[in-house]
Amino acid sequence: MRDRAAFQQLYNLTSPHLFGVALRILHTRSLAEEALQDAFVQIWQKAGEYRADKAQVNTWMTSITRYRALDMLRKSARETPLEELPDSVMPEQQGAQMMAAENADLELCMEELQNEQRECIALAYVDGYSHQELSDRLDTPLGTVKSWIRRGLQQLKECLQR
Amino acid sequence: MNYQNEQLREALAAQYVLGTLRGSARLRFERWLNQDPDLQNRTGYWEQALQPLADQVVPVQPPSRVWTSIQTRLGMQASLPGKSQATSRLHWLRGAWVSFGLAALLVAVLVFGPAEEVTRFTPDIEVALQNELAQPVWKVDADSSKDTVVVSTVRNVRLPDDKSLELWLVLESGEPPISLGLMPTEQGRKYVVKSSTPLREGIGFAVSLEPRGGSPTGVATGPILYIQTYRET
Repeated sequence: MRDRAAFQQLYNLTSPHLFGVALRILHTRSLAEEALQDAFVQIWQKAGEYRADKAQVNTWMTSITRYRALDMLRKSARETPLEELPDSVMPEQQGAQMMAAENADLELCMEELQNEQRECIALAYVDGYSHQELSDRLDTPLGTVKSWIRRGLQQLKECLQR
Repeated sequence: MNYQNEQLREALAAQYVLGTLRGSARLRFERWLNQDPDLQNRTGYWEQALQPLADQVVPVQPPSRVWTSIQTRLGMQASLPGKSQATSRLHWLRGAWVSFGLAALLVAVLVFGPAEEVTRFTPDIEVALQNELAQPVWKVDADSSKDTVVVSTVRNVRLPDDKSLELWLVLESGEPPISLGLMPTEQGRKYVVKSSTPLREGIGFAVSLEPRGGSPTGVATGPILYIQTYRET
């Protein structure tokens, strides 16, 4: 059947990317596999709610996957430190070269942030760090981390809207 | 919390997307999000704005069992496993990820997909799976005309990290039960599955304790923890 063939193609094209995203947040393969499963079940069930005028497909699918992974993070704290992840899931420097023009805007605006703000935002978004985990990792008071993030996001938006 | 304050709305939407809004505040925000178009727009803005950070994450090929489980949960008949992609092709996948082809594929899923069936779910089978104290743990509702089962988790279930609970359809014929996928364990969480075997051929549901990810063999390997018939035989 055509719908299923399309779904499988969608899975084949996007699952490595979404699995990579889930792994970065959850650090554990079995949990990331579970998150990916749940995400694709939701994608199938919610396909009718997708609005092309509101979001690009990859953004919509990434959000579903990230939010599921973040939900799972709540109940099982990450046990594997980031350093123990296999090389294949570590950030890739040449990634930036692949970015489309619109992505370059975010990169430029991230550059404008203070180092601490940029680091906190990237660690929270990509690696699922909570305020508390950032505070521990950066050995900085919780209130300071919160304000870095709050102000960083504000500045990011001002920059993106210029 | 005051959801009318514009600055606060914006901050909550941004931190929801970033992932730093956690715990009960996150759940509360999600409830508001469902019914508040302004919050949806703000959230959508941030999802799009931060997407390049996700695009930079290196893809990792998931094992083929993930696709098999997805098919089982959606009641799709097992077809050829997802074409295996060699690692060397991952750079090509990155290109595909940002291309417009995705939109066309999703439209195909959508046009031919089952969205309508799901919305017209009318259960004619309702059973409760109880623990040893006779407290309901899950509510299982099923619509036998659509072979669709909805499991609602009534209480949190504690489980060792290396275990999963698997749901089975117990068959009238006495043949081995058919797997319906993994049970949710978090209170409030729902799980929807379309059975590839007609529910009429079953007489009840059972839940077994399995290694994490479910039975590796396709038949229950662990102890049956819950069982409930929905039809007298």
